[in-house]
Amino acid sequence: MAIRSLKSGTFSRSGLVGNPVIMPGSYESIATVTVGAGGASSVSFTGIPSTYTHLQLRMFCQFNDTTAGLGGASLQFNSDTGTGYTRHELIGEGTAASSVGFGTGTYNGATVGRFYFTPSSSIFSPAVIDILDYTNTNKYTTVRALGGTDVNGSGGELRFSSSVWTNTAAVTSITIPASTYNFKQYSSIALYGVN
Amino acid sequence: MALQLFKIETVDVASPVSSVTFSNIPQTYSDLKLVASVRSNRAAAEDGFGITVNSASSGYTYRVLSSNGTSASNASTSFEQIWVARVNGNTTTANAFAHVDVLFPNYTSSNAKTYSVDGATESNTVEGYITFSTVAQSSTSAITSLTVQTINGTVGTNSSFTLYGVL
Repeated sequence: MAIRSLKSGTFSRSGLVGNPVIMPGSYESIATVTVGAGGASSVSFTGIPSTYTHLQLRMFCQFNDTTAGLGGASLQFNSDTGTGYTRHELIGEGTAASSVGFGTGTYNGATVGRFYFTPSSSIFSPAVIDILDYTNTNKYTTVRALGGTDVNGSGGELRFSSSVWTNTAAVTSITIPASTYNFKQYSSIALYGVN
Repeated sequence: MALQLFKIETVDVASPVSSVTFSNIPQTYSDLKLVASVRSNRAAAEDGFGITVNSASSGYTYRVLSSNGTSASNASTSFEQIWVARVNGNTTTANAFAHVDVLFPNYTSSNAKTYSVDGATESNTVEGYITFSTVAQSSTSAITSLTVQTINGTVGTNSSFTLYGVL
């Protein structure tokens, strides 16, 4: 965790007496999962602390399949596998932009991006997902995601996505199933808390 | 040193207000980042979200890429001024709030200010407005205050705004 002197603005790694007064940063790592050999059908974060204002997920992933293409992952809160999630997306495929929208009843998770699936490739796809006010029980939980893939001249897709989980419960766990695929080895998903 | 965020101030709206202002913004960071969860009391599906820099009422231009759940479009304008994103109005699904994320790079420079804005309304319907905007504000003064507002209705209860400094 970065710590910063209120007096000088310089950074330090020690808060011991005699050192500058420190100010902790507002962005902290909670947990990181790196998929091992054999892959994983989903990744979960449980026991999420309620002490932050927002959460952020950073994904760098690839799916495993016998053919190549693009597939979507989803995000489920508190083990809710129902269809109480909406999706709205702005999509760029390299030629034209398009848009899709869905109310509840269609998807069983918030949308979080498009990832490459392939039997053999080193192309992993990034996605950054913000989950705002995740402990506020006056609000449905909103998810903002930006992610995409470029397959080095063989297609690709960028998606800016918004979803809402129509439930006011505080988020205590997150599950990210890999759709009908598996997350391939070396896929990485990191969860951060933002104060 | 890895990028780090430092919270400057959070405003949680306990009852409707016309706007929220961050003033006396410290000049010690590289960039500013604003994260907002917003719902307007406008009796409509959406409302505009506006940002006023240093109380300037003019000098804004922007380009926007947007979608509504059915189609995508883009536009540029110099006369909508401070309207930079769309947020939920109060006819949308109860308890649903829009999210808005704004980055003000190099906010202390003596050049014209540019910033990027992305936002999305959320509702339990096909209709949902997503916007990506880049805004230029012609003033060369360092940013010392920011005022955010919903354009046609008051800022609703439980909306929240957090301003971060980025190093």
